[in-house]
Amino acid sequence: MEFDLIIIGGGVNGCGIARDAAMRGLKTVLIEKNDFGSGTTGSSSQMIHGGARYLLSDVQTTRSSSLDSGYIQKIAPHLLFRIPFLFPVLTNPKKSAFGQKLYLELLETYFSAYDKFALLKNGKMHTRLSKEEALQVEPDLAPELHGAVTFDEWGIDSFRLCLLNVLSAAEHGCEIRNHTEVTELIRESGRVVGVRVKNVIAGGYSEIRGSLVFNAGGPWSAQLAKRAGCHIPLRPAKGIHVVFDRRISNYAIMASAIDGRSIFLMPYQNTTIMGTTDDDYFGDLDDIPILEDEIEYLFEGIEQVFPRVRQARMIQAWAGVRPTLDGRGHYEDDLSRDHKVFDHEAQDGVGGFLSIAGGKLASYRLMSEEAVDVVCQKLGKMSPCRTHLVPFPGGERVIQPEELAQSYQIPLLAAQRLVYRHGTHAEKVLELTREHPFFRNIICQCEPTLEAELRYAVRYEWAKTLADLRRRTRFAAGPCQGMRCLMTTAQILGEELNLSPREVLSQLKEFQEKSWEKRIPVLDGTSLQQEELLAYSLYNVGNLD
Amino acid sequence: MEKTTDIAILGDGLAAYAAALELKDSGCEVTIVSKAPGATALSSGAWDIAESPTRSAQDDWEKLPTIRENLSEILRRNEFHPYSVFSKGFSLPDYLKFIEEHVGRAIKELPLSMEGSVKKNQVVLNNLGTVKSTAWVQSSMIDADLRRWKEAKVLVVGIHGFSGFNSRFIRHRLLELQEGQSKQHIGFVGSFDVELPNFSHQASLTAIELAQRLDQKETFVKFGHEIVKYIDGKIYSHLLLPSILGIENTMAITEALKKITGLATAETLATPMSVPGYRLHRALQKFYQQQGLNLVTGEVSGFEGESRQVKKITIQDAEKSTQLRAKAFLLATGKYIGGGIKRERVFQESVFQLPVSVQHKQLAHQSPARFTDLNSAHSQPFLQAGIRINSFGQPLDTEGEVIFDNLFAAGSILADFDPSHERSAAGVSLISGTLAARHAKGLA
Repeated sequence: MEFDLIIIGGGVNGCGIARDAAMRGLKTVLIEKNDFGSGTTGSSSQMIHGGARYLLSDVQTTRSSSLDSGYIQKIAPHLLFRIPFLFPVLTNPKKSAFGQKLYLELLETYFSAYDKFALLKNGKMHTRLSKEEALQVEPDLAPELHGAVTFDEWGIDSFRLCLLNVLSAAEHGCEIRNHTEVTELIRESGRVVGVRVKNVIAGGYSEIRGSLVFNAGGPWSAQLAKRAGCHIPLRPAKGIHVVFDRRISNYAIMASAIDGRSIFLMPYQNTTIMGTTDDDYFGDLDDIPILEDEIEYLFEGIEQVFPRVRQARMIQAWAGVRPTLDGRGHYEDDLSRDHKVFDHEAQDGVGGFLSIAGGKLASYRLMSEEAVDVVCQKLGKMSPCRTHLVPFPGGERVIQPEELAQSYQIPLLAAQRLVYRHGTHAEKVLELTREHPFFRNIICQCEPTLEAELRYAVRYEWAKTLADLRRRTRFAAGPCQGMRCLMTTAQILGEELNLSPREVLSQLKEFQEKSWEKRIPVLDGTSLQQEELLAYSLYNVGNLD
Repeated sequence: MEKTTDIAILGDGLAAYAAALELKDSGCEVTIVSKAPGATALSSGAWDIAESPTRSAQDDWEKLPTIRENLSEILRRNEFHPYSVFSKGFSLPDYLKFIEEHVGRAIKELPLSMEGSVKKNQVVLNNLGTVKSTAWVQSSMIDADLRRWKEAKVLVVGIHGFSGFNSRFIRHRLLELQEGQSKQHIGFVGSFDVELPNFSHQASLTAIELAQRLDQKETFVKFGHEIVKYIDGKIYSHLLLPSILGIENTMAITEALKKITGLATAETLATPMSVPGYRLHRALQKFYQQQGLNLVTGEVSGFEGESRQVKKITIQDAEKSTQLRAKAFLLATGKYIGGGIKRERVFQESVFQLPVSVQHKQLAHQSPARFTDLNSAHSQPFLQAGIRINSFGQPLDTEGEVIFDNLFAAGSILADFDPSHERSAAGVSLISGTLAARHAKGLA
């Protein structure tokens, strides 16, 4: 079987390209070596933001980001949530009262300029708050506060965003292959004509052939391109985020790190995330270390404006590598977030092979559109992009969780979370409980996640491992990090996939190993109690070692 | 308020219980300072004494070493282990005998029915479908010791709406466990789920809720008859259930189910938060009350010391503050779960700010890479971290010197054993609690 387009990489770009290409009628296959969003996308700041920080250097990026943010809200209304941001300004004893006032004025001018883009992204205009007003809305701000400016951005669950694209792509005939690793680019007379792939879970190799191979490997893309003798000028940059066990502020809060970079603390779903760093990275892309130094760098900056952050309980940290385009001789943070589609035929003389690099989460749809425009041109099958007009599966309209909660007899919070993740498809998830009333069981109490949603993710969302389930349903992503629900979830996965108990237990071990790595950097305070209890549960009682 | 006592025990878990037992007929006035249910209450409720450091519960159960062999191996391999530290002054045979006698005494005096042996570990099935080797389990679980089974015809029963026990999984898993065994322990296995009376169509039930409900006679009798319906003439020998057989009336329920179904009936071991752990916690509380010990509740917020002597501690309970003077103090506050040890950017013992160490190296503000192992299944250095002591149970500083002459420590707070990975926590708590109290008694 011959495809029009083979896409390598299931990050937001690969998934976005898959949807766009499939909607334009191309015969498409999407290949991801791990899971959708498991690389850079899932490690991002989870924002579809307007790019206020590019306002001075790259106003075009701000404009296009804001415009696309508006589109994404229309096609995935359930998945975006407004994040009110607070930019606190502290009293600086070195500055005169006039200087202080001037700084706040300048900041306000800056955000007034940003207001111009607010309409595009359906945002709210900025406001200026006095010290008293700011403390009223955010009582834990540092007492040295002088005033604050507010603005707003949009947050998103980037795993679900990838999955929405995958679901839509599949509806339009795209073949979906996660846990499938490309081991070789097949080349015939100077052209890339297909890929050799390995089924990572079941083992075994196969070949997939197509007219065009699109490399959307993110930070991995340079390595992949090299195998075909092609060059992508990347300057990979690492960014880390720290997750706290609950929402610890009302607003998202901006702060300056010790080197003057902007960093933030942001309520995210039922947790808080703190980010991010931006450092050149030369290490292993499949095993990115998180240093205590990097965490301390974030704390040091945030505590200047929000001292209470030190008392909050960290539950994990994640790291990702941005596939930033080369910019030798600049600081990491000054690099453009611009993106580029590489036609390796024109550039390296290798036909049938394209790559994309650079960009940011907020502009994924636009990038995908550009990429597929090039693809269509190459294939001579022109067709207009409609990804900004057609709602995602589940995004056709907004539904009320109250009715679902009542009609299916589940807690309202569970219904709300389900609607957040699935939109109108929440009803499809809950349909599973009609036949099996106990699929209403809340398996992960922290999130909460229902048994029905876990089973649905295996049946209809290509979940094959516990980590896949975590990305799709947020089970085990909360304060107890799976202490209470890991085993039950593993058993459910085993039933759905027909695994032997032995395989279920080894899935459990593998998941624990991987998530342990993300918890090591944040072991402190009450997390140690949780860790002691989890180890006792899995190893002393569970005898899993 | 100010109070005076002979011996103050900080903590109310298993080490505290052993100490209280040791002081029972000594004439000493004992006061227990209790903060909140800790690791004992969260445990599986089974008592581990010793398992071989080179694990074997999944191996051939016929070839499992004896507890004596396991203890000897620990003593040989780890000179810093609390078992090793307290062995000073004993000959090996005397020490092994001492451990057996004192664990035996603790079992006898406990107001909770336990079964097992100080000689040989049981191989008990848990809710993960794996087995754990442990010395003593609550009597309602003894029939889940797979080693005793001879071609057992097992019926696994789950509860609708309770996701903590998957009967189908356990059924398949039992057959896997039989592989690799030299004897045929498991004949065949069946499974089904029942609905507990009065819980029709309720989802997300917890073990505690179910146990509370089953405590009522009407409910457990109905439950038994419900199971009989499903047996429907098939021939079974064993009935396996989640650990939900009541909080108060566990033995009566187990006996009733045996009678109604005609099957050897057992609860499986459970991961936290488990009903059997809660039963154990209640049994210890009951013992303290029966003995008429003084109880002070609250968190120790400070202490006063003077030239190597602890004079008094301050206990804070909401608005109420109590000063407690004692001739000797016994620290049995546990590890992280109990709150005995904490790390808030620096490792520290919570009450007396004692140094925390592992393998005689102090842990202070090291970065996580220094106190963790990348393999989560390995015993973790931070889980072995604790208070270094001498053979009297007195905490030592980094130089190995006694810090306070009248302060003793026992249980999970001790350094160089990992209660989360190795299966020796109950034994260590009982032996360290007994011996620390014995030495504290000399000061009272």
